[in-house]
Amino acid sequence: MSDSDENAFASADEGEEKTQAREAAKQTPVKKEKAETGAGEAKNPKSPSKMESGKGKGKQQQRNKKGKNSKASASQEDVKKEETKAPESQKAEETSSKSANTEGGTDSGSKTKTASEEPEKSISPDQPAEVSSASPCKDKDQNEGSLGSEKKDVEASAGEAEAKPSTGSSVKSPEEQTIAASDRDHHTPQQEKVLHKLEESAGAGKSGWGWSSWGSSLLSAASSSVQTFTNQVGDGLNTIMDTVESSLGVPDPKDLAERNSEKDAKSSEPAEKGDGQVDKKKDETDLPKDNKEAPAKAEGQEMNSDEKAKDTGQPTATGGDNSWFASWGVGDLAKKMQNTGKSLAAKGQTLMTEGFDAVEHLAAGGIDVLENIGKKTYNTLAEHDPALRRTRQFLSPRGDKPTLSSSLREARDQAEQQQKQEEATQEALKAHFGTLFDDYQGLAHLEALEILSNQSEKKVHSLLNSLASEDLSTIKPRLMSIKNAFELDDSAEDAADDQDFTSLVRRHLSELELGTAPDKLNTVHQMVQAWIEDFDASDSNHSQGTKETHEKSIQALAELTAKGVEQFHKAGEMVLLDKDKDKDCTERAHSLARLTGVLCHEIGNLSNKFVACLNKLAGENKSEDVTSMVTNIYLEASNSSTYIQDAFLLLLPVLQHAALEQAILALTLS
Amino acid sequence: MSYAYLFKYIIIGDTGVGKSCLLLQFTDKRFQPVHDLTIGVEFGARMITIDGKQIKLQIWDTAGQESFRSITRSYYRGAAGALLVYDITRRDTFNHLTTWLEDARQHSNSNMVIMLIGNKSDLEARREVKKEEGEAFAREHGLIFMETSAKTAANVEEAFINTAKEIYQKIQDGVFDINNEANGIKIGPQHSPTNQGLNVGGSGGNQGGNCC
Repeated sequence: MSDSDENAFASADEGEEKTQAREAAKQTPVKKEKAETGAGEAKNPKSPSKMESGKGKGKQQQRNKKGKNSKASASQEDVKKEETKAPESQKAEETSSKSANTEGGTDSGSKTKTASEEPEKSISPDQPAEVSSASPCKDKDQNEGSLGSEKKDVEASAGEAEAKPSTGSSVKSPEEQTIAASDRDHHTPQQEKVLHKLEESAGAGKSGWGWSSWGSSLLSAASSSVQTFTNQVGDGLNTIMDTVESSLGVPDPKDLAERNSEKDAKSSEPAEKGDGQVDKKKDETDLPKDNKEAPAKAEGQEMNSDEKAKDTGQPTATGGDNSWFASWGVGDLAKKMQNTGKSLAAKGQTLMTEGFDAVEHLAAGGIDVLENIGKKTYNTLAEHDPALRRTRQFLSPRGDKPTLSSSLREARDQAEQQQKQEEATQEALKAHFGTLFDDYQGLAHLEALEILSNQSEKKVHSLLNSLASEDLSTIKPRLMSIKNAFELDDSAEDAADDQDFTSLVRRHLSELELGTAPDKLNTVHQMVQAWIEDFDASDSNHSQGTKETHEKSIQALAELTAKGVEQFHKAGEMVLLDKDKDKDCTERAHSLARLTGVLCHEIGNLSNKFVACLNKLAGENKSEDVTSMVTNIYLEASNSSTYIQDAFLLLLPVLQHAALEQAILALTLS
Repeated sequence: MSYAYLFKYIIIGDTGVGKSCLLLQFTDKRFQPVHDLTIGVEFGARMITIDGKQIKLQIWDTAGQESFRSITRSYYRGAAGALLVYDITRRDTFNHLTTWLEDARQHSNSNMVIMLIGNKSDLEARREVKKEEGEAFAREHGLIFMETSAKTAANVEEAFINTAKEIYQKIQDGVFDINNEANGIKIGPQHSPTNQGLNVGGSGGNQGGNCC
């Protein structure tokens, strides 16, 4: 099967998946609409809209992922919400006031509301089912954070559920009503009364929605990773403080429950759950069992007191213990309550200190890292940016500064990369032609020659401009002949031919009559020749490996090239010094051209010899692959020739300059 | 060898004051009593460390002979530092300092750091120029001053390194525009801005959200 076929298949699969997902997405809104319509018929705007918002999270996320319909359904929701009007907006207020105390929130209005909810709830047994249908979606989406923990809650509660059909209620806020409805079937009329009141508190429990979700997210965060915890620490600490504060003023629900059961049989239910209070996590999992009360508990004792306060007809119960206790007539309990409050406070403190410790640890470690990164960043910047001028210039006028975290990461990664690169380059430099050429001062000579050349060129131009036209006509042919001498013919002689390098170089240099001796050049050449001869002489058991041979050849090429360039540089200097002498510059140009030819030929010849050495080595131990090294040698040999030819060409203006001055001198004399 | 900066130096002064010997002492740590006449310019290079940074000194050792002056002048341009050398045993070399200084100031960039060096300090018996005179001249012309001996290596390292420190300080102060190579300063190859850094940021971009 060809690649494109595979691709086609893959895309087809993807397409299938997408359609499935789309179908699923389509289906769910339909269900939801059902629920909505059902709710609308029952004239209870509360539960459906809430339901939707609860489910919506999961579904919407799913839909967002697929990028379909999310807007449409959102607008649907909006419409529904609008329909629900007044009670809904009340609720919205309550939800928005989450952390605020809910005492005032559940007023008589909400009571009537909940009363009207009752009948409708029995009509909507499909709601729990819906809730559960929503949870797989979450599974798919692999929601994290609070949603994930909610899901866990669902599972946990499913295990505990027993006779309770409303396990979906653990998805909190929306389902409080649902739970109430289903629970009602199981409760005695006596309990109904309680449930009524609890429902009120469930209204208050809407704020519990936020609380419990925070709690679960905090807990999951704390248990999973400290890092996530720190994210929460900001508001988390505040919330802990709140919790501790409120818990200080609130009695242990267990005790409360016991007392309640004595006084009021209906309050027996809270008693069962009482022990869950201290442990918040347990609270969470207890939620479904607790039915309506559970969300309130999850919120902390505050809610409990709220609840009970409502039982006794006190609208604002969260206040001091005293008023609350007085209403119950169990003043002697006060001490117990206070104790529990203290223990709760202690727990809160431990939680806080743990939080602080974690933050401190992070901070201590983080600051060191930051400091290091900061130093490195500064150094890196300062290196090619003294006084950080350009950086400032770059940063100040722009508003779109990069985020701190990304620039820190960039700096760190860059430093790492630099280090790696440096290590790699250190190794490579041993056989790096350019570096070696620089080390042998070839670059410096080339640079100096370039300076001379540029100056001469300027001089030539200014001299030509100053000359009279008839003088120009006599001088121009000479300049042209020099230029012609610099036209290197690419008649590539067979580089394999050996030549008497030393004598050739000596001859051409003496032709120049500049008094420069090719000592350095010849010395290097002799060294290279000797090395190759040694290599050839020892037929086997070469001490050098291929790597060493390669290094040696590159080094030889670089040194020879550097000395060649130096020779040209010196020649240029001498030409300028000797410009008064009556030596024909055209002749010099030809000599230099021949010298260039000899040097380039020798470079080619030597590279051939080095390659032969490498191949010989490779033939001896067959495992080694020398292809890349051979290529490299030929490449650098061509580089070497280029350097030499460049140096030679730089001499053209120098020679023209000298010729011009000679000519002008002759003109003035005649 | 990798380096953070490359500084170009020139060594100038009358012939025979020991310019090439100073360079040889600095680069090879050896002394050659008899030295060939320098033709045009010779080169030497050495790596030094300043403030934890590798700095390559590329030294242009010019010919001191009068006949080469026209050529060597060309090489002044693009030098970050200059060692102006005289021979403490020959007063005429000291007397020529003004000419050399004018030449250097005229043909190089104005920010060039110039170090005045009274060489052959080992030949105390034949001294013709007092140390104080050298100091006074340096003070008068805003130069750094040092007496050295290429033979005993006394102060040779210091002369080169102190000049480099001065240049480095000028870089830090922002006097030198290091991006203008006419100032005799080049940034090392590994420190030139690379495009690779741009890609790095994106790869780890997802981790950032947790911090804040």
